[in-house]
Amino acid sequence: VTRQPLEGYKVVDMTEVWAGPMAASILGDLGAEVIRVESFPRAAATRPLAAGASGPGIVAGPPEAPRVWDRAPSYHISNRNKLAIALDAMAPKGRDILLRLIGRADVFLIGFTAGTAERMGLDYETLRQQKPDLVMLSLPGWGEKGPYKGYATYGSGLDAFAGHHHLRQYPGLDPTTAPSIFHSDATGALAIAFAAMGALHYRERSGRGQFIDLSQVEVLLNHLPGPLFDWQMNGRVQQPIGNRHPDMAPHGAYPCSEPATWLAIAVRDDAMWSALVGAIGGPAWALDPALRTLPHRLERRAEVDRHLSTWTRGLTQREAMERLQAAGVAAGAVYSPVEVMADAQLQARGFFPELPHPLLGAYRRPNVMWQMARTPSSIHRNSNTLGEHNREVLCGLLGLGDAEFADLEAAGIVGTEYRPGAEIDPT
Amino acid sequence: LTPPPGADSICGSVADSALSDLKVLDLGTDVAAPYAARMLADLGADVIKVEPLAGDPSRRRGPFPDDLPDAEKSGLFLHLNANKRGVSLDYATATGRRLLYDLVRWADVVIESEAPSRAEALGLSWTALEAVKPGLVLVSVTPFGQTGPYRDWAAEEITVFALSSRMWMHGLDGMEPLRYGPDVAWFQVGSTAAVAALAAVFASQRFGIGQQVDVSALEALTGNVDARPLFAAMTGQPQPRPARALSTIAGVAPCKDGYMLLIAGSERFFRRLLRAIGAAELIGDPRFVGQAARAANAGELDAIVLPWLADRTRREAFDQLQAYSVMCAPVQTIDEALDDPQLVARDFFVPLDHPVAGRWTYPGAPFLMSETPWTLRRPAPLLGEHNREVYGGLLGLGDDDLALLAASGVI
Repeated sequence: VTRQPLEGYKVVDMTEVWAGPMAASILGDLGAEVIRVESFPRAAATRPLAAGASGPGIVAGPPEAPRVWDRAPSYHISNRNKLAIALDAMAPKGRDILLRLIGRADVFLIGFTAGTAERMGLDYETLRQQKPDLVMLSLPGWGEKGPYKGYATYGSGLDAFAGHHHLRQYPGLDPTTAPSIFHSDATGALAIAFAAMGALHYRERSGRGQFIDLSQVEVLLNHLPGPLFDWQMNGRVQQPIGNRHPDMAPHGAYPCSEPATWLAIAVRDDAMWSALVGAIGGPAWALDPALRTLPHRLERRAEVDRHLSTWTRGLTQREAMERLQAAGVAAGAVYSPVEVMADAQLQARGFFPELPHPLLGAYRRPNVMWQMARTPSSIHRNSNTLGEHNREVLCGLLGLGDAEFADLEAAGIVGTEYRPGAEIDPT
Repeated sequence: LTPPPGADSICGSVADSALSDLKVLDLGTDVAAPYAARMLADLGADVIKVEPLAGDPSRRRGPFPDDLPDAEKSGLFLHLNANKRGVSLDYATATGRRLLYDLVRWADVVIESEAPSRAEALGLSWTALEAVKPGLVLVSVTPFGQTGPYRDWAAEEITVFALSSRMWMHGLDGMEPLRYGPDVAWFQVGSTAAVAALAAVFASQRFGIGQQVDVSALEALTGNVDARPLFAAMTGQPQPRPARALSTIAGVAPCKDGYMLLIAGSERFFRRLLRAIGAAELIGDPRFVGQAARAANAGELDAIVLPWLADRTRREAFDQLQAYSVMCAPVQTIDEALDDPQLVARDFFVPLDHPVAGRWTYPGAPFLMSETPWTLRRPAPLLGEHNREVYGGLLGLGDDDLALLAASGVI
């Protein structure tokens, strides 16, 4: 029998978009039973009702094919290894179902704007009356308390607020040159899963549950110590430096022979510089003895970058990467999302398994983010279709009878399809 | 849950920190692995950081006070290694390895970040460590993982970030791709390792299953929600690189004193935006109904929204837009975040004294736990600060032994 680290634990996932659902997926990867409760009859942001050119509107398959909401990569990317129901939790009968699910759960993840849970009677003080050792985690943008309680955003706003957007822009240009990114959803998902497991670990010892208030801003600020200490220690507001590095040269993305291809190269120390000089055939510019030491390379990095670019331009990304790696120089191709799926290392480790999906046939998706030798994780359930496990959860796990289930379906408390006009409202 | 085998070890007395029963040996260097250990330490784990005699290389990275390099004053090192004790040890020596194995016997979790072939040479392979401590959790955090053709390839943050495909997506079409802020990707890898480590502790404590946890930085950066391979795989379409993000409704736009990031591209959010700026009469205007129409009439839309923003400071615009639940946030720098009323109200930033580096303000709790509060209990260790406490107190070596180890360059 293969054990799973979190087998036996039960999680209710009532979060939307990326950070919360991904955290729940991670707990599912680790063997927890995760029951996702999706918004119904109104569709959430990553469940588009029509195909579109950008964002959640990007869908697999022809735009006119049925069940658009089940075909959006923006939903699939953060959901796997879950049972999922589509439930009208605002209706009394739906709320009753939700409370029964929470009553049998160890962890409840809720992803509403601060204040919404109270209004729905889903705040921790209320829920712990029913389930005293519940671990509950809420992840509003700026947290559950403070003057911005109730303010709304996605991860890209938190990235801006924490100072990361500023650092990412092209040096010398303005913030419009930095694309919106959702990095804080990724690190937020990890922090959520970590916090939930920490609380479960404590509960095993103490019998006590707890409430966790998580703001992705505060997670991200823990990942940006350099600017914080530089400001305090030197009164310096760090400015964007692009692909340069304060302690390494050369360090950057160098253009290769094919159009719009680059190779990232980073030379950590003087020994690696010597290796690089050998790997590129020891051209005269590189044999300058002054360049053997880092301070000179840092000072003359524009010149070094120019020369090195001349060398990389003569080779394909792959050729240049292999030549440098053969000499022990850190080099990595700037892959596109298509190219990375063909990478030899990731192929060798089975990182892009092909998984079946009821509407889409099969497609390849990134695997679980680690390998555990004796409790191997896998994606054993692909992203759910809307309401895919309504019956399995309500009848199988909660013990509802067929007639009772049919009544809920007829009353629109649970369902598997959105009607036209089921407006998107993620807050 | 029925009490699983091995439950005795986790049913002890109630402690005030979530992980206070956990002992962790941090052999990691630089950012990712030490950050994983820091996350465990923050929840109360007893973490001993083992450094080479020259110190963790992160001690030589800035920022430093007044830009003067000092191994005890690196802001990066101080942050990554707070809440840990620290010893120095050269475990490439035979004596050093014996001491290391004594520490492994003490630990529940070992975190290391050596290239796989070097880890084997240093006696850190799973086979070696499992023989030392059955049931151990060994977390190996490397650029490419323990297997595969790149396992011993050289790597830095930028080269792994490049391979993950996220660098390609980060930069404007037609321009050079860019890395993220300094070390941000490594912090993500460390966070991934912390999750995997804690999960493996569950397997160890509940089922008595020790194991090696293989964390590949490349996989951590390729497999999370901020990467786009899945979009390409599902749609069969290459993912376009981003276009310039100047937009009144889904990007950043200028206010009186800086920029505001707006997320108002969807129908409902756009209507909220119009209400917030006093332009509710434009709701339903055919020029602005639907994303395609708004894109086609972007100039006219700009003429309405940009002046409203330009008349206001970021703070004014932020509060007025949020009053209508328009998703937005000011584009700030760290000095502004330090004074931000929200972070101040939550007591986020925390001052901490260090015997050599002095008193600085650190990032605070990444999340607030009601029963087991996050604490900043101790500053990062001086190099070898706890040699006596650990080798003497924990392993029972006498003063003479310690002097000999120091004289022979083992500690």
